[in-house]
Amino acid sequence: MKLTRRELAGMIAAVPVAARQAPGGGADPPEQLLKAAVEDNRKSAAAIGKLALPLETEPAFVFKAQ
Amino acid sequence: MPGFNDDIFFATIGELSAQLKAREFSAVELARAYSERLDKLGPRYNALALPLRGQALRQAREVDGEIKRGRRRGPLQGIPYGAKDLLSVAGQRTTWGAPPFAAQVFDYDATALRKLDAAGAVLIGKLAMVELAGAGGYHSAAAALFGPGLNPWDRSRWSGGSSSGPGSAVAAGLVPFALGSETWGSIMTPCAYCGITGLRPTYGLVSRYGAMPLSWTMDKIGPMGRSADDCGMVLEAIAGGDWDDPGSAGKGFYYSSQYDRDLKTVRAGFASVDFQEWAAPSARPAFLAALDVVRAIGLEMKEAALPDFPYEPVANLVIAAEGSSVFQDFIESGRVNQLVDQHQIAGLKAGLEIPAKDYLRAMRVRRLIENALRELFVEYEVLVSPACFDPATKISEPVDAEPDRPKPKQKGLSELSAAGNLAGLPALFLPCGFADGLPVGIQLVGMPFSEGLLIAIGREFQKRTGWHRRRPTVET
Repeated sequence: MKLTRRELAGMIAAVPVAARQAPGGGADPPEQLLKAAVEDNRKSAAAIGKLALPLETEPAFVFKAQ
Repeated sequence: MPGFNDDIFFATIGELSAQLKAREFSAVELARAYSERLDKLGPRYNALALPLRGQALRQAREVDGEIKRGRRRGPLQGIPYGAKDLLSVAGQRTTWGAPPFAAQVFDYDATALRKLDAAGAVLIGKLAMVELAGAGGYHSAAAALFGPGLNPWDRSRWSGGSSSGPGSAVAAGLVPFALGSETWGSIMTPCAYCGITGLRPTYGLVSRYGAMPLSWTMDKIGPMGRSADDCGMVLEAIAGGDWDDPGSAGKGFYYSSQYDRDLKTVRAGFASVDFQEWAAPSARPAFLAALDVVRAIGLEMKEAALPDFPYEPVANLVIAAEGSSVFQDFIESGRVNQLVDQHQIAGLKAGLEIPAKDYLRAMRVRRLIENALRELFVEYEVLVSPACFDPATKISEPVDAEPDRPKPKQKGLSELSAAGNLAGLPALFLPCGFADGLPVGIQLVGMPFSEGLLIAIGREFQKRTGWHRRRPTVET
């Protein structure tokens, strides 16, 4: 199924206005949100880093020979 | 065409299948009735992404022909269903719930849908979802192309996410069952909030081919429906090895309503603190009553606690790193800014900045988590806990708001969702009552590939309670 640009524009415009206004989303500027998200990841890494990790521990990937 | 009453729209797969077999109605009549209802009422809950009535009626006609010729494919033959809009259907829009992908069309079907097609199930529509399944960590229920998922029990409440459309659609009787997906909580939350039954399969049991990737090592596709039995029937159809999915376990699942083990020999773990302190005060009576039912089934119940690990930081970091890598081109092109939720945009951008050492360390800790949980499951075969501690949040509130009560000192099994998803463990979600007029549910989590056991306990639970039969008032 193909959509014309007009149909697509209409569809996106049809998204309820409320759907575009995330609660609290408008309050913080994007740079501040990005900074906070980077900081969250740093905090997660710090929490993980506290755990003693035996040297031989391999990551939880599953590799399969093709 | 027979006059379908509401009972049909809240019937189980087994009941609908028996009626089809008895020729009380045809597959075309059933597909038409459900399609009309989904197309009419789906938008009321922001649950419908794409109606597929024409395709459904063509497929249902074929099913009727087969039934006429005596070809039976199993209990799903002729049963209508919906699929979360992250599963591709050839030639149809697959939006991933996100404005920048509103016109996206693939030329192939997701494996899970292909398998349902082979079982004779009839796809009547794509169901709405949180944009990109919440890849960047969303803040608002409104982070969705079709608007916030509205809960059929109270439309001022969220239906949960990211499988919001499947949750609402099953609860409102718009589809008998749906396929959802879970990376971390995306089947669990809508099941708990909407009062329906759902199953998160073991990682690798159901092919992810044709599904939007969010986290290669954590994504799972699973059924959401009316009962544990129904989830078993759907899982049997969609499980199985798939060369197109690098994470496929190469295993199948056989569903039987006769579980061959006495449930009285099953060792179950629970944490009192989950039920008495972590749970919202209004939900505690329902959760405690559910625990009594599990006890009455005869399982050996013992207090349990998860081994001490930073489950949530690990899950956060793995999803952020993998999700941002999946969407790297999309993020760097700037199209990411077309998403609805600013938090999600920031989260996706931030994920690209995670150093390799942090991701690798998270994955190494994850290995320790897997090992520790394997040991835990020597002592317990199933863990029982509330699925969500609170009933559905208000649409107007942030979905990630912390409850305004003090955090208990003991963790109990409160991080079971993060732990279970990190270790790829299966979970069954069962409605277990109401709090403040809204549904709440419990989760049963087992060791990898123990879906048969979980479903057997769920079936017994549902024989003894009627919560899965409760339905919201749906004005037509």
